Amino acid sequence: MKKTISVYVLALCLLAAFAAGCGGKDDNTVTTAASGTSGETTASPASDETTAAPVAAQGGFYFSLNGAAVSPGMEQDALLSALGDADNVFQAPSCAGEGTDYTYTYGGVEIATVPDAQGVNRVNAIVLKDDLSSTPEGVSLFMTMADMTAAYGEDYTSSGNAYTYARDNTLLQFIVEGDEITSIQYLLEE
Amino acid sequence: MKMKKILTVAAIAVFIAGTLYLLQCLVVPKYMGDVVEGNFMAEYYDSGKDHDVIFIGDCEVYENFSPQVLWDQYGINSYIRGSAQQLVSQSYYVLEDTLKYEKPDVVVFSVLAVPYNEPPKESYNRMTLDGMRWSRTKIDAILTSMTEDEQFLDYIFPLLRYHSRITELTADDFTYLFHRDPVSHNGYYMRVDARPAENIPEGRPLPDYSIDAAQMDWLEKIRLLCEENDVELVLIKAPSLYPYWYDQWEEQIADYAEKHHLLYINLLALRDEAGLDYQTDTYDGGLHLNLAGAEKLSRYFGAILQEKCGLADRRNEAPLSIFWEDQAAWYAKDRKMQEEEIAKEGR
Repeated sequence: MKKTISVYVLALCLLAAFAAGCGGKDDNTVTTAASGTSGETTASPASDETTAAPVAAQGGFYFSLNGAAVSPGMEQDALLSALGDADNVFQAPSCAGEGTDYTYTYGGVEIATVPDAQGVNRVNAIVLKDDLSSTPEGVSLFMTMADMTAAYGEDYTSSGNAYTYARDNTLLQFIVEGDEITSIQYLLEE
Repeated sequence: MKMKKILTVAAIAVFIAGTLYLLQCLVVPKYMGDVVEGNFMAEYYDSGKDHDVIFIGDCEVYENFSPQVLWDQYGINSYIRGSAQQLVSQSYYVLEDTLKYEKPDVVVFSVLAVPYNEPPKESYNRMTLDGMRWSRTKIDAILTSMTEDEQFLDYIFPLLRYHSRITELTADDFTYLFHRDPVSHNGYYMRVDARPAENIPEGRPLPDYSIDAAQMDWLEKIRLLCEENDVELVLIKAPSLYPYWYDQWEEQIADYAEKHHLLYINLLALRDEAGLDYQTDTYDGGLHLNLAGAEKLSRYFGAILQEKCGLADRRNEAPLSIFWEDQAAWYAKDRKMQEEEIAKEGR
C-alpha cells in the first residue's frame, strides 16, 4: 500500500513540475498581448516567440528628419519622441489582436512601424515620397543611378530594377527606372 | 496478487492520462474573450453541412460577408471557413478538409494572401490548425505550415506547448474547460462598431511585383481540387482598403482567372457599386467591414452569385429555413449585445 501511495505521489510531483513549466522555449507561453487601438487581448502564443526581430545596430543606415536620426529597427516610442506628432497617422490592427502596424507621414516621408516578436513596435520602413528630402549622403528621388553609385559605391545587390545596400541589419533600397531613381526606401533586414 | 499489481498499474496509468488530459483542457487558449478567431475552424464541424457556397481565406472573407444575409435575401446556404492570416497553402488544406464533409456548388476564395505571401506565424497557425479535426489533411497542413521553432508533437499534445499557461489562467479557462460558446455566424465575425477610413497609405514601390510561383502553385492546387470535385471556384478580392492591392497583382490574378475560365470579382474596384461608405461601413479604418458594410456587400455579392453561378433559392426547404431562423435569432442577439456595449462605452 505504501508503495502504491509513493508511486501516486511521485506521479503527481512529476505532473506538477511539468505543469509549472520545465524550461524549453515556452517559459512565457501564451501571454496576453494588447493589440493597440482596440485594446483587445489574445491568448495566442505569438507574444512569446524566442526569435528576436533584428534590430538595427548603431552602424546601420539612417535617415535624417527634422534634425533627428531615424533608422530601421528604431523603437516606435523613440521615433515619436524624436520627431513629434506626424502629419498623418494610419493604424492597421492585425487580425486577431496580434498588434498594430502604424504608418506615420511627416511631409514627404512615410515611416512604418510593425510589432516585433516581443510585441514592441519598431520602424521597418522609411520611404521618401518626394524629392524635397534626400538621404544624408545627398541622394534624392529623380536623381540618376550614377548619383547613387557616387554616393554609395558599387557594393549593392540588384534584383530587377532594385539596387540594395546592406549595413548592420538595415537596407537602403533604390528603385531605378530608365536611369532615374523612382523610389528610396530604408528597410529593416529580415 | 499479480492481478492486483496489474490493476494498480492500470489505475495509475489512467489517473496520469486523465490528469494530463484535464491539464491540457485547462491550459489551451480558449479564444472566448475579445479574440475569438481561434474558434472559427472548429465551429464548422457543428454546422449542418450541405452548403451551396463555402468561402475560404483569411480575414477578408470572415469579416466581410454575412451568410445570414445571403440566406435571407437569396436563399443561399453558405459557410465561411476563414481564419486569421490563413495562408494559401492552408486554404488548400481547409478546402480539402471541407470536401470530406460536403460538396458545395461554389467555393469562393479570397486572393489577397496569394501575392501577399506573409510568413507563417505560430499564433496564426494555431488559430487555423488547432480547430481542424484530425485527419491526414490536418497532418499535411501542420507539416506545411510549421515555423522553424514549432514542433509537430506540440500540435498532437498541445499541453507540451501551453503548459506554462498554468500560471496565467483566467476565469475563461475554467468556464470553457470542456466546451466553447458559438462565436461566429456560420463563420462570419460580426462587428457592429465603426471607425472611418482615413489616411490610408498607398503601397510602397516594390522591386518585383511578380507573384511568387509557389503561391501560384497553391492556387492552382485549389483550382484543381475544385475541378476534381466538380465545384465551381470563384476568386474574389475583398473591398479592404489596406493592405494595398497593387495593379500588377490584379493583372496577374485576372490573367490567371481568364486563362482557367474562372469567375474573378474584384470587389475593391466595385466598392461604390456595392454601396459601401468607408466612413460608416468599416470598424477599423478600412481594413475590414463592420456589420453594415458586410450586409451591403453580401446583398451585392449574393446577386452576383445567384446570377453567375445559377444558385437556387432554397428558402422553401423547411429544415434549412428552421436552421436559419435559429441563426437569425442569435445574429440579432449578438448585434443587440454589441450595440448595447457600444452605447454603454460611448463608442
